[in-house]
Amino acid sequence: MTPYDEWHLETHRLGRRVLVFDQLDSTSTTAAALANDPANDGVVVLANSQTAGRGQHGRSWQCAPGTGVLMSVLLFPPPEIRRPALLTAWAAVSVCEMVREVANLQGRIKWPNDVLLRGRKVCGILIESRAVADSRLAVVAGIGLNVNQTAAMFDDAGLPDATSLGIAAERLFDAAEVARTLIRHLDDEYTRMCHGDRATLEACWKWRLGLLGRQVEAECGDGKYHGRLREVSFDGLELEQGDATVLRLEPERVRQLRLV
Amino acid sequence: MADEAPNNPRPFNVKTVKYLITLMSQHDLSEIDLREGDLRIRLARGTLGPTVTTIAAPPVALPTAAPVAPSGPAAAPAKPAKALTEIKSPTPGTFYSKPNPESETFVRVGSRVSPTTVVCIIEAMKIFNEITADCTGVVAEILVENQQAVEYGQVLFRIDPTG
Repeated sequence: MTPYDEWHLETHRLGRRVLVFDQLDSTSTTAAALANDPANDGVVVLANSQTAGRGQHGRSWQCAPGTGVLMSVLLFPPPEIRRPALLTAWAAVSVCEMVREVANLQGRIKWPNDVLLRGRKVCGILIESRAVADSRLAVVAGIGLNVNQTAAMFDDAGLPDATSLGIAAERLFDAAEVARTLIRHLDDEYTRMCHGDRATLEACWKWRLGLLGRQVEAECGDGKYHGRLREVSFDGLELEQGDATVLRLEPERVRQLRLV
Repeated sequence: MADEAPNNPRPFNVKTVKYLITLMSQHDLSEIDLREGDLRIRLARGTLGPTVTTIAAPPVALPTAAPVAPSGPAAAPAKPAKALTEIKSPTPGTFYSKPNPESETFVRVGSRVSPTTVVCIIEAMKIFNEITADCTGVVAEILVENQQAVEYGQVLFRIDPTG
């Protein structure tokens, strides 16, 4: 499988090389196959269509050819940012910032990393990591973004809770331009993290989760916890209990976070 | 003595914290500070503000290799003949024994592993981290079930390096 086009964006790390394919089994599988060479740090794999797009843990990701952005980014993050909470927030916030730029809409993040527009899912993110040689960790961030799908297409596919940029903004988008804008935002946020600035990402993440001050239920591996969400940070989610105590849950423990 | 209450929660989890908070309030204690190895839990209550309870202190990181520690006869008195190597979870999360629900498990008891063998996936915040054995031997024990919640440092597998 050879790419039909290759882009070289003027970014810091991500997208200095973008391999554009017509059709792939999965952009993440192709990106992961590049993980043996450290020089591939930041390579982006794009495809117009996937025959075996992957969603979470074995689910499929459906996208009619040419209607969305199907992208996977290969990264070898330094040890200080190898945290699930950071990587999840990085991808989801970058997607939201891109949406704001191209469509002038404010996306919300549904814990942990779905991006919603007007309550419907516009983007799915699947991040996989594995150890490779020389103590490097290869991270492949797969992003499936709905761009020009119509409501009828989602109805036909049995996805009533999905939306696209086109539906939400009531116009069509240039998918390639959307992809380039997304890569730039991913690069900006990633570069900032690598330079030690997590506060900006944390603030954007907190705001886009949008649950501060609300009564929530946090579902963890060992049970469900309730309380008023008084703080969200990479250090923990703080749930104010009725008895004036505060429970702090590490983000990585929280599987679902929802309003009650 | 350490085994007198095997059904109690593990030393540092939410149930334990809740239990400690109850004890503090019953006995009007202002502070509890417990340590075990790298884990520390400190609970304080007072009039200046609400008590903040931190659950699980060690930094969470995706490793390039699973933390592996030999468990000698002292740690496993029931099996004094063999020193087994433990593969531990690098992060809190969900343990997956297979790459997807339809697949075979990565390894089973008796499987031979090398340092690069993927033994499981630990998922946290929808980040799926493949864990490699980082040692050579034969899987002697699998201590967790598919989709079970695991803690930082929890032993997932014991590997017999002489197998």
